[in-house]
Amino acid sequence: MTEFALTNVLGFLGFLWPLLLGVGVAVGENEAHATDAPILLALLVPLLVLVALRTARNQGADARMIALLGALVAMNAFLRIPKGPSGEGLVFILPILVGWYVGARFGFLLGAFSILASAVITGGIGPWMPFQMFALGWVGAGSGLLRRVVRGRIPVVSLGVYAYASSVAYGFLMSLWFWPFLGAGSPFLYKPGLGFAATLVRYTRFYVLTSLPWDTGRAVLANVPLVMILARPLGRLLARVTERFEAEIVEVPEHLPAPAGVAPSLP
Amino acid sequence: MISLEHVTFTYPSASSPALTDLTLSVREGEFVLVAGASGSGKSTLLRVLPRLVPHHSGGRFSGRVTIDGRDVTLAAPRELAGAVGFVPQDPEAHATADRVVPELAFAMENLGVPQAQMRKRVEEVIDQLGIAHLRDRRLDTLSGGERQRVAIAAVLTALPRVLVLDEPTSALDPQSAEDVFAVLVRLRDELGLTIVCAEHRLERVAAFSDSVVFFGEELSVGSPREVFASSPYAPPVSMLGRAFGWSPLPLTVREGRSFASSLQVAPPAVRPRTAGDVAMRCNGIEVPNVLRGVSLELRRGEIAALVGRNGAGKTTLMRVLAGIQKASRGSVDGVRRGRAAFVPQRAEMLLFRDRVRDEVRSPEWLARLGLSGVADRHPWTLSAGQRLWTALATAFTRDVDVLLLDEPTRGLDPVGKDLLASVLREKADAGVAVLLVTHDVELVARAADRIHMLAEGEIVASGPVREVLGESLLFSSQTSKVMADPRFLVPSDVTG
Repeated sequence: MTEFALTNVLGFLGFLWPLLLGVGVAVGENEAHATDAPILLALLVPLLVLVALRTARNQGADARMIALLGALVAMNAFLRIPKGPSGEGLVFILPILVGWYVGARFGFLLGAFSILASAVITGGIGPWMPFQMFALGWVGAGSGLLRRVVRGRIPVVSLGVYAYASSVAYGFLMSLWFWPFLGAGSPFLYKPGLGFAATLVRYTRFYVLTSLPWDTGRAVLANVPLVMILARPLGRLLARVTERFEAEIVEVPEHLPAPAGVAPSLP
Repeated sequence: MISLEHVTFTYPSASSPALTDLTLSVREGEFVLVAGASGSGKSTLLRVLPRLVPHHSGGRFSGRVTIDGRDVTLAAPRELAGAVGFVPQDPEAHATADRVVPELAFAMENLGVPQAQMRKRVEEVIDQLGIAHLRDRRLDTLSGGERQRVAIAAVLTALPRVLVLDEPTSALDPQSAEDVFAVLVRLRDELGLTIVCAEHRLERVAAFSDSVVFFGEELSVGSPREVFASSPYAPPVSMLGRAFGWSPLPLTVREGRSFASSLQVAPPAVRPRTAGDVAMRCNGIEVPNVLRGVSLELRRGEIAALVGRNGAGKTTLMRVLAGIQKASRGSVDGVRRGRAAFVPQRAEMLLFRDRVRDEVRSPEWLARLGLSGVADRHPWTLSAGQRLWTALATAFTRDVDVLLLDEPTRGLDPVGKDLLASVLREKADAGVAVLLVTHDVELVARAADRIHMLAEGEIVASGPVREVLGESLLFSSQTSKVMADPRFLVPSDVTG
């Protein structure tokens, strides 16, 4: 199994285990993921480094690809400081665009590392951090996958639609990390043993009431317009950078005689 | 030592190759001068040797490269880090440490050299380059020439067999440039280092080059005397030699003197220019630690050159005149807001758009400055010379009273300098006041009417070009040295 697949499995399990085991309510809200988040992070970071190295090597660009990733992560980490209309707005834009123009894995790495780096700057370290890393990583990866699905056509429109969809998906995922721990007192909250369909209905109700308005606001006011405005210029910029990584070398056969007319050697 | 066979290289999304079927070989211990027009492929050729082309440029490369008996066609740049030392055009942008000794050790650290050996090599290189007095300095306190010597030293600590330099003196004053070349010659003579060096100011390097690779209409390769006998341009002394049929072709002032002393030519009639009214004036400009009370007048119709050694305060004065930097005392007046155009030393800082034609909207200017062929390219993908032309064109197309140009010669070949001189003259005749900062004596001789010489933050000499250059030892043109007469500034003054 590749490191990237393993990383994704780890992410799904991290989000879903409280539902699968049904132990959340007993733990309580304040202790949500208090024990597993550090373990998750300790597994996730080395995996990300492996994915980064493998991605760079597969593209034949090793150090240059890592340098590009590092520069983009640093920029995106700072973009998290100015809060968008409903928080976290600006941190989505680069992963979405870079995932589309450079590739799904690269988008994943940018999203995940951006959260790690910006958490250090903004003091946003907590049990939610590995979950944010997965969620934003998937936002970047999804953009790269979408490009393959639509075969790169109508990029600006596709990216605009995706910017909305990914903003909602991110909110949907990020409410899930604490929802099973909130207690069982209402039809919006988690109750163990209800079965998949009923749990999904309860969670969707909860999400629509609490998070969807924020996520929509964030998407409509920031992510969608900014992604659509920046798509073409940033796409050109990234193309100019990444085309420098693609070298093709054709060797001439050995002992080919020098043609007449070209100075054969210096005196 | 170096051999290229049938090398053809095309940059990504370029329509034609930058190098076409290039075959040449360089022997060990040779000093190879790479010359030719801007954008002709000099920098590309240099970057082929450490394999930065194609690995850091992208594009399509074909051919074979052998260095020191090893086929490195498929090698990655890191595999050559020890064998080929590369000093890029702009060493400031490539420094990694803030002090001299750590900067010298950086390459060795990356190559995993044991610490005891590192210390020894740092000491040796410091002595070889005569920079012992700089060892504890911060890089940002060094002058341009010192900086360049440190950059060369930083490459030498890896013990390369081949040293590759891209216009190592383009930002240096004449004295600093001589110091740098003296170091290079010693490295060749004493260590047998093979040196490949691109340079536009041929008069600085022709004398000690073993061979020349000249990118003209077609590639010519040979000894300096062979190549400069027929190349599109040559050092001024060789141009004189060609005009008068001197044989063997002189390459140095000394060789030229022996022919010129028997030459009977009347000095050119100096036609006094009548400068117009004052377009811009500064009074008692002071900037702490840099400028100490500078007063200057720029007149319409006059091209003035501001010269002086590295660190004399030329760029600071320029920035004050352009209104980018505040002076702590003194005033700048005369010019209305938006009526002065300024092109900084790193001219590409002016270029923001995606295509050259979006920066320069006038097709006439694009054609005149040789940019028509690259009008759809991104400015940052052009050669250094073409990028400079693009930035200059943005200033030329504006309707202004004052043109302020800071070092407008980095990456310009002599043909380009002639073009620049004629554009500036045309602007001046149209009533613009021009001030250019430059180290390039030949450009000053060709283009300027008046010289202001800055030293230690003060104007120490100011006057018509022929007077000031004639009195100066360092800032005098090669032609006037050969003729031993300050009234001859450029070869055409002699040949008529």
